[in-house]
Amino acid sequence: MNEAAYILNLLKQGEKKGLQLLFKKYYRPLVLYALKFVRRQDIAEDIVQEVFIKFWEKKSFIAVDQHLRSYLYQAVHNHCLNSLEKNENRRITSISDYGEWAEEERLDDSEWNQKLEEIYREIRKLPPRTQEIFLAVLFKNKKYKEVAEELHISVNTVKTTIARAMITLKNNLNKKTYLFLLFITKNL
Amino acid sequence: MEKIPSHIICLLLSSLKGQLNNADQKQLQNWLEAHPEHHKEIKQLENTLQKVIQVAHFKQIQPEKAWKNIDTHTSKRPGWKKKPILTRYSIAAGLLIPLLIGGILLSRLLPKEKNTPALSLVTKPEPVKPGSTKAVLELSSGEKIVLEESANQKIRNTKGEIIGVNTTNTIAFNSSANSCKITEKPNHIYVPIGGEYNVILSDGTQIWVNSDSRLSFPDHFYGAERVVELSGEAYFQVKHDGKPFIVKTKHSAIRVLGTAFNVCCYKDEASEQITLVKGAVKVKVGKKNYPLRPGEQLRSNPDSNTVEIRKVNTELYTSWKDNLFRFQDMPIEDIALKLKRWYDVNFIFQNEESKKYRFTGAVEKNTSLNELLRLIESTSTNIKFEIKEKEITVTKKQGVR
Repeated sequence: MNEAAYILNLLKQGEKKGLQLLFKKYYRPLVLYALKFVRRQDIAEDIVQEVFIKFWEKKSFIAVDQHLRSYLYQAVHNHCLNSLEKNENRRITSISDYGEWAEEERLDDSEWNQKLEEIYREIRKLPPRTQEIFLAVLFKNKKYKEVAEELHISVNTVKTTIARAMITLKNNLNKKTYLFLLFITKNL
Repeated sequence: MEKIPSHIICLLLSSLKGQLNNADQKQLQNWLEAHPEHHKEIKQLENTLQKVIQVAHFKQIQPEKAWKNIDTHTSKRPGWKKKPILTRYSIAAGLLIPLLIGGILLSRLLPKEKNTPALSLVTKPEPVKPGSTKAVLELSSGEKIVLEESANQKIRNTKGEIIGVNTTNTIAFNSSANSCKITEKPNHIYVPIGGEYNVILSDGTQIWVNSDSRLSFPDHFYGAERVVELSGEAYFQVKHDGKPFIVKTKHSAIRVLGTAFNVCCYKDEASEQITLVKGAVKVKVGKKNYPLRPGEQLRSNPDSNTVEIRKVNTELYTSWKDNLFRFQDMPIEDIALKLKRWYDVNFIFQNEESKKYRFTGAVEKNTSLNELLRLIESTSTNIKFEIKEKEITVTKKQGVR
């Protein structure tokens, strides 16, 4: 019995373990999905948590069958659109971002992990000083001024470091794809 | 070619994080427009930035904490808790209760008013509300069911078996073919003017159905092909299951295996348009077959017997399913047709000239019509809208240079 069927079975038997397994499989990807529509991570997490809670209490699993994945993504999408009624939550990005993820992009936790590991590895390859500044701004959400003061450098240096790091990452990630494609075509 | 300046890259980063103010956003936009030679690199940077931001979010999530929250807010067995919980983002609603109670107490302390003011004779016009999710499902048995917005409405066939579930704005049909092929008669889903609905078929295919449309489909796809019929507009995300999926419209038949595309075939429009987003489709018009590639749109006009294929920005034709109206250089009479279906109003053009003015823009569909028309008015020196209940009169502004 595959994982999805196993989870569904547990849910239908009213076993909370089923919900927990479902959570482990889709929580983080669904939060990433919600972040396409709402600005704050805490709001995105609240939305996804509420989706799981409602899913359990309303026993939505009864007729969803094996479409668990698309159902959850759709439910998160709807909740996000509802919460966008309030201006503060709206994320101001390009309009194309309002689109849903296509089916192939609706991944589960382990698939996302794999996808992101590559980028994380590239970040780790940056020279230590650059990495420190990069992580501070992007992962710890520190402002340029904060980082500049902490490291006793100018704001301009912080910005140029970030910019250089971005270009490096962009080039390395694109190079990989190119080499990969080259490899594929050579071996056809 | 010069390098992209660091401050631009940093602006890009802030923009993607949603932290850019209007002035900086404008600065970034101006720079982008002035440097088309960098567009490819900017796209790649955006891509990379997007991924980096996602990694950051992913790593910042604490699943154990989240699970604890879910666990404490759910009962041991499913369905025991009747009331949904209040979460952080709906805190405004949570505050309403204590305020109301305070309000009642306060009014008892206020001195009674001597005269109640006369009702004003001039009432403020009610803003024209946008459409919402609503639809009617007609089963093969002929039974009509109104699809409500409430959760978990179970749909049963004549034998009493559950064949699908309706929640919020989506109706999903079961994939298990319990009964043997009894009838091939299709079900129909009608989405009225002002409505829109999502359907998940028994094979997993997802269809967004737009206002003023009808989709016909069977319970299960028994034959060698999966066939549905559409009148109006819908966006299809077809699940690949080996069997070709065919959408029949009044004048054409679209054939796919697994892909995403938009079909627009309203009876009150002169042409049918099929826009391909992903995958491959083959459109049959009359006796000829036209293959389409992603990013292409086929336009067929049965009156003039013409078929035209061109490259388009597919988003202009699919954004409606994501709660957005998007139009690019579109004449107001075409915009009026779309608005008419969602807001259930009629447009009257005072003169032929006013029909041809063109507009470009994007607006969320849950905006009131009044606001939307005001927006259009504000971008043009030529046009003026007069809103009277369900009738909108379009005139050319007087005193235009």
